[in-house]
Amino acid sequence: MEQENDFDVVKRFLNGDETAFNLIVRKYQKKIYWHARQMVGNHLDADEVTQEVLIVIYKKLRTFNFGSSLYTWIYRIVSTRSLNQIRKRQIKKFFSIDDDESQIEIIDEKDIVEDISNRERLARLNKILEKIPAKQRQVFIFRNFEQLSYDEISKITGKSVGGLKANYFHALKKVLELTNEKE
Amino acid sequence: MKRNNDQILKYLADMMNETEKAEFETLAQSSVEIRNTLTSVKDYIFSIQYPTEADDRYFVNLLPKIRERLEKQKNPSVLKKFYYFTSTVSAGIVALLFLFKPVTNFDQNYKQLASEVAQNISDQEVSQKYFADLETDPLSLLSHEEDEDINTLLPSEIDLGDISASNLLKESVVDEYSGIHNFSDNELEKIANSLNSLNVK
Repeated sequence: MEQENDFDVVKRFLNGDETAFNLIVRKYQKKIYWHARQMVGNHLDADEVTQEVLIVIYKKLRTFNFGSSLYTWIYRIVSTRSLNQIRKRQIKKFFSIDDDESQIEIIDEKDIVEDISNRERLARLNKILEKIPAKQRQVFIFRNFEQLSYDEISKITGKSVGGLKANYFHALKKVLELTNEKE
Repeated sequence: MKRNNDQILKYLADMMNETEKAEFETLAQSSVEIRNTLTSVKDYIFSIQYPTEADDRYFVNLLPKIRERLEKQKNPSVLKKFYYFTSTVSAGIVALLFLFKPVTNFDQNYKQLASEVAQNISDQEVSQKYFADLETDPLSLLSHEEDEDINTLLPSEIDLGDISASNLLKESVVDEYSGIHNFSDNELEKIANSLNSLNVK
């Protein structure tokens, strides 16, 4: 049903109906933002990724050929852009003379998570997730937070199911070890 | 214990085949320790769900922001539109100026002018212009016997050092040279002509 709706909306957009894009944004913006947020670990980077992804969707939707579901196609874009953003941040961090603490303060000021306990929980979780390699983190997020099957993740990432399982195993192991270290 | 933990993780990661899975489930049913560990890991995974409660204003404002950015990209400013064009053209012009330096006859003209001036200016004019400032008559130099006195008569920029100035002056030459002042221009011209006819230079 969801895919049919997406199909109709995309068709409308391809026929020149600009409002169809608004429907796609409203439907997927939260999923895009939270996936990016889980991957990059802060609001500013997640916001940048979200905006980039929505612009890419607008520009590339005309080339979308329904080879996969719109949902998979969008996740593929978010996933790639998030990994790029992580790489970009790592390069920036390497050449930056600013200390990490000042950066965290700037990030916290603009965070859209208002509840303090949620914010603290998020900070704890991000500290663990950022210690996992990006590719493993990606699988962990898809499996744990997005509740996707390996087949769905495979369609998004283009990786084999076996490789994804191994990545998830190592990610899970690392998360548990890091949590036990903290406790 | 470590082996059991790895088994639990493999089970949760769905890395076991059907036989291994069945064996593990049987083991978990018989071992309280494995069962408890499996439950605690599952609970932990469940507990670390990402909080998604956030300020909705961000999502409300997202679409207008995207529309605005798209609009800007559709109609870039004139400067932005020609950014690459103008910078490429400027770089090209600079390169061309270096490669094909405009031909100027400045140096040549300057040399020609200097040569014309040198050829057309008379000796008299040169002496009047450039040697009129000499305060000292050669004869007055000769009349001073002491070198120190002679030095006081020489222009300040001339420094003879240890050389005795009086030794440099030959009386006969000075006499002859001083006598030139007494000739008129016509007489000097006659002398020059007669010297020319003798091929004396």
